[in-house]
Amino acid sequence: MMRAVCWHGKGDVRVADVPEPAIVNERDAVIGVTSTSICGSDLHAYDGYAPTMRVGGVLGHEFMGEVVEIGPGVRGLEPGDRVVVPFDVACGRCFFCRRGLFSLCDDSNPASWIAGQTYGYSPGGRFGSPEALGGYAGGQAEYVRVPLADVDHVKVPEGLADDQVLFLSDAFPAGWQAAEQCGIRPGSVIAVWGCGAVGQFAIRSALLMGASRVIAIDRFGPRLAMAEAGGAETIDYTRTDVREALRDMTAGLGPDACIDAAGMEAHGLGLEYAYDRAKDAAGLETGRPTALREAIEACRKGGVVSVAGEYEGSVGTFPMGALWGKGLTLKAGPTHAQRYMRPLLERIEGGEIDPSFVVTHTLPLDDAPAAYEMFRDKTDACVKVVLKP
Amino acid sequence: MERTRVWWRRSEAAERAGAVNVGDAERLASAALGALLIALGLRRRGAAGAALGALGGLAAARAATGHSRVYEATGVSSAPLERGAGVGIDESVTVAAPVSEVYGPWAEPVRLPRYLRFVRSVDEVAPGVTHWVVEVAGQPLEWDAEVIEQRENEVVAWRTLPGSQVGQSGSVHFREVAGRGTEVRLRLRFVPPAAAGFAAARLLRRLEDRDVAEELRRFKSIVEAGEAPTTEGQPSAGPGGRERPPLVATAPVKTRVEPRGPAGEG
Ligand SMILES: NC(=O)c1ccc[n+]([C@@H]2O[C@H](COP(=O)([O-])OP(=O)(O)OC[C@H]3O[C@@H](n4cnc5c(N)ncnc54)[C@H](O)[C@@H]3O)[C@@H](O)[C@H]2O)c1
Ligand SMILES: [Zn+2]
Ligand SMILES: [Zn+2]
Repeated sequence: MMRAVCWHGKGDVRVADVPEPAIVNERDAVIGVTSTSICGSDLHAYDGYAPTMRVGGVLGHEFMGEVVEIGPGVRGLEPGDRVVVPFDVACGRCFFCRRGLFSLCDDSNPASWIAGQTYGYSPGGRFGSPEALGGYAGGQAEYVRVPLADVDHVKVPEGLADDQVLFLSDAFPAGWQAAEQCGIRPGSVIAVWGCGAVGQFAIRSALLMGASRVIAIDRFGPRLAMAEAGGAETIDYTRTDVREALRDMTAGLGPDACIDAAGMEAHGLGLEYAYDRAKDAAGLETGRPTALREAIEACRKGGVVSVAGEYEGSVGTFPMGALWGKGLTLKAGPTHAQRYMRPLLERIEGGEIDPSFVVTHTLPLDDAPAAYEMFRDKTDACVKVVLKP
Repeated sequence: MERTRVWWRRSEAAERAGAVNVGDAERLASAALGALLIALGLRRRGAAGAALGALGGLAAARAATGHSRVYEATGVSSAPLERGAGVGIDESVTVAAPVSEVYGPWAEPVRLPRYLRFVRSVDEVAPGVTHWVVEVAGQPLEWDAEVIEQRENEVVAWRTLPGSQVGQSGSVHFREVAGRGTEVRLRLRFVPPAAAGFAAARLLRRLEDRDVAEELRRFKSIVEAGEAPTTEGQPSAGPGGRERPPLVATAPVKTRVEPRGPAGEG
C-alpha cells in the first residue's frame, strides 16, 4: 500500500492508503515520487468544474521522481534514473504527436469513448484527471505508473534541486507556450492576466523571448510582488480599470499580445461578473470568462490573444465582435509539455531561469487537504505548493 | 473518427416520414423540454428569451417529427429496429502508418485477436476459409467466413458460409493519403438469420456503431503506439475505474451527452 491524495467530491480531497501501481503495458514505467505540486488545473476538479471526475481517483499531474521499474518496451530509461514526467500522456507516434501536438495525442486516452460522448472529440490522456481525459491515477502519491514512459519523461541531472526542475512537467512549459504563441519580437508589449505559477512563467518567458515590457494583472499582493520581481509592471484589477490602465500604459496603442493565464474560474467585479456567476450557477455555462473577455478587449488591433488558462464547455458574452473587428489571432489549448521540457531544462542548466522562485510552500503529502484549501483561497501568500510523499 | 450508422432495412412508413431517428420516450421528453423552453422564452424579454424560445421550438419539432437534426448530423439513431431487420455499420479511422502496416492483420485475420477485443480467435480451416470465435455480451458466437475479394493494400471482403450461427458480410478498404496516413473503412452487414440463430441476431442488433468505432480505435493505437492505452488495475480509493463496456451491452445503453469542452487538466 502507499499514500495518495484522492478526489472525493467538490472541496473534498483525502489522503488514503491505496494499492501500489504495477507495470501493465510494455511501454510503462513506475516512478517513485520525490516531489509533486498542486496546479490550478487541480483546482478546477477541486471546485467541481471537471465533469467525469472519478470518486477515489488519485490526483496530481505535476510530479517527478526516480524510476523504480520499467516495462519491456521502454528504451532509454533505467531504474534509478531521475525524471520529470509531463502532465500530458502522449505516444509520440500518432498524427498529432508527430506534429508536436503531444497533449492532443490520439493514442493515450483509454477512455476516448467517454470523451467522445462528453465532448464530441477526445484529447490526449492526463494524470490525475477526470475520466474523459483518461483518468490515469495521478502523481500526488508515493508511486505512479507512467504509461508510454519512453516518450513521457525528461531525465534531470543530480546537480539541480527538485524545485528547480519539477515545473518542467507543466507550469513552466504552459507559461512558455503561452508566450511563444504571442509571436514576440523586440519591443513587444505583453499583458498577462493571472499571476499564478502559469502566469509567473509566462511573464519570465516573454521577457526571455525579448519582450520589452510585460504588464501583469491580478488582485493578490504577493503574486503581484512576485511578478514585479520577475520584471513585470503590474495592475491590481480591484483598484484600477484594467482596460483603461492598459490603454494608458501603452499610450493608447494597447498590448501587442494578451495572455489569459487565469482560466475559466476567473474572478471579476461588477455587473458582468454577477451575470456570469448567475449563469454559471444555473448550469447554463461552465465558467466565467472575465479575464479572456478583458484580454480580447484590451489587445491592440492585429494582435494575438494566447489562452493558457483552461476552459470547459461554453462561455457567454464572448466579444466576438472585437476579435473579428480588430483582426485578432486567438491561440489556445493545453500545453505540449514534451515539446519544451528538454530545451527549457537547458535554459535552467544555463542559469537563464531558476523556476524554484515560484515555490511558496513545501509540505508533507499528508497535509494535502489543508494545502488544497490554502491554494484555492490564496491565503498565506500561497503561489505554489510542493508536496513531499 | 467518422461515424455513420446505416440502418439498412426500415419500415416503409419510417422511410416515407423522412427517417425517424428519435425513439418514443425521447420524443415525449423532447416535447416536454420544448414546451418548457418555449414557456421560459415567452416569460423573458430580449435576446435570451428569443433564444430560449427558439431552442424550445427545435425540441418541439423534434418531438413532432421524430427527426433530430442533431442526431442526423452526428449519425446517431435511437429508433428501434424492426424485428427481423438486419443491421449495418460503417466506421472509418485514419491510422498514422503506411498502408502495408495497416493492411497486414486484415489480410491475415489470424492476427486480428491482438488488435480487436471482441475477436477471441480466428483459425484458418481451409485456404481462404477462416473459423471465427467472437465474444458478444459475454457470449461466444462462431462462424466460418470465406474471402470473396482481396487486393493487396486495397481491400479485403468476406462473407459467412451457410450454416454459421450468424450471417455476416463485410469489407475493409484501405487508402493511403499523403501526409495523413492510411484511411481504413470498415463495412459490416449482419443479415437476419434462420430461426436457430435468432438469439445471436438479437445480440448483434444491439451492436452499437461506437463499439465498432472503439474497436477500430484500439486497432489504430496498437498499430501506431504498439499498445492500447489502459488504466486497468490502477490505484484508487474508490470503486475503481470503469472499463469500457462489453462490445454489446447486456442492456440497451443511452449515454450520449451534449458535447462540451475538455475538462480538467493542464
Ligand atoms: N495550458 C495548460 O496546459 C495549462 C497548464 C497548467 C495550468 N493551466 C491553467 O492555467 C490557469 C492558471 O493556473 P495556475 O496554476 O497559475 O492557477 P492559480 O489559481 O494559481 O492562478 C490563477 C490566477 O488568476 C488570477 N485571476 C483570477 N481572475 C482574474 C482576473 N479576472 N484577472 C486577472 N487575474 C485573475 C487569480 O487571482 C490567480 O492568481 C488555470 O486555468 C489552469 O487550469 C493550463
Ligand atoms: Zn500520440
Ligand atoms: Zn496543470
